[in-house]
Amino acid sequence: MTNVTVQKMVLDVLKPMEPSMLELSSNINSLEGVESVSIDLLEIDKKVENVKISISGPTLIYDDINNVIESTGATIHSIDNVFTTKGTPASDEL
Amino acid sequence: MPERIKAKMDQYEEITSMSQLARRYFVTNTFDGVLTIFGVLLGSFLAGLMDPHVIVTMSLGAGAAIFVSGVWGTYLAESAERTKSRKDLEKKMLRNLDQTQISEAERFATIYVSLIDGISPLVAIIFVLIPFFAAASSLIGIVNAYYSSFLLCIVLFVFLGVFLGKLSKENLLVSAAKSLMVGLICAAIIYTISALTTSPLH
Repeated sequence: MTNVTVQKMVLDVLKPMEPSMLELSSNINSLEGVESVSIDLLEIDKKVENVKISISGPTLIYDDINNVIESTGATIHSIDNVFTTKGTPASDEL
Repeated sequence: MPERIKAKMDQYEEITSMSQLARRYFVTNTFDGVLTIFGVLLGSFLAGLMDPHVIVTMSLGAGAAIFVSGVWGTYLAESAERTKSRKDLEKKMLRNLDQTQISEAERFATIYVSLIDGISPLVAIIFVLIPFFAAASSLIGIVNAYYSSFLLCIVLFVFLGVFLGKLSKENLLVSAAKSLMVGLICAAIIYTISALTTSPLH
């Protein structure tokens, strides 16, 4: 079976106010295979905020990303966009 | 402080704002401790109690009670408040928040502020009792121990006043004076009670 790697995903996430977006972004970015993380604020409330997280990198592993997001108390509501490529990226790209 | 521990503490602080709460408990409970020992010592002095061993035992007993009360009472109250707050958040998040950074931070903060609440007055009491430890070891006389302890109480009142003054960026002298006034009021009340109930020490 052909190897497919996820290189970009956009997630709709509901998160508590704390930890902050900075903390969440750092946590996701510390994962292997993640190169950049961008978080946009969509809606804000007294205790929670709805954000859009754009993650890109040579090899994204959804389960790892989900675990990191869940560990901060946030929840992925939906995957709004995903970009995949065929084949494994060259080792020097990792 | 190792980098990892500092990062963890910063994370807990961001989630719980525990330093603010800890400062509040530190000040109020150190005040409690100083006023308690001040009252005990002044009352003992006016009643003519001259055995340092009795005074140390009595005072440490009071300190132990305040410590246990502080730790346990704050632990129960903070746990209850944080549980309520977390349950409200869980309703909004539509998920359980156990096993998350939030619950970990809240557990730590609860224990941290509880210990601050209990240890602050106990440390204040032990500090004020230092002259009596010396008197119990026959290093100084009992009357000198009393006067020295009263002086240490004044030092603590001033310290608390200055601490609060720095925190609120107010005039330090005014802040220290307000703090000292508390001690004077306490002394006046105890002296009045003593005058009504026992014969004053000559």
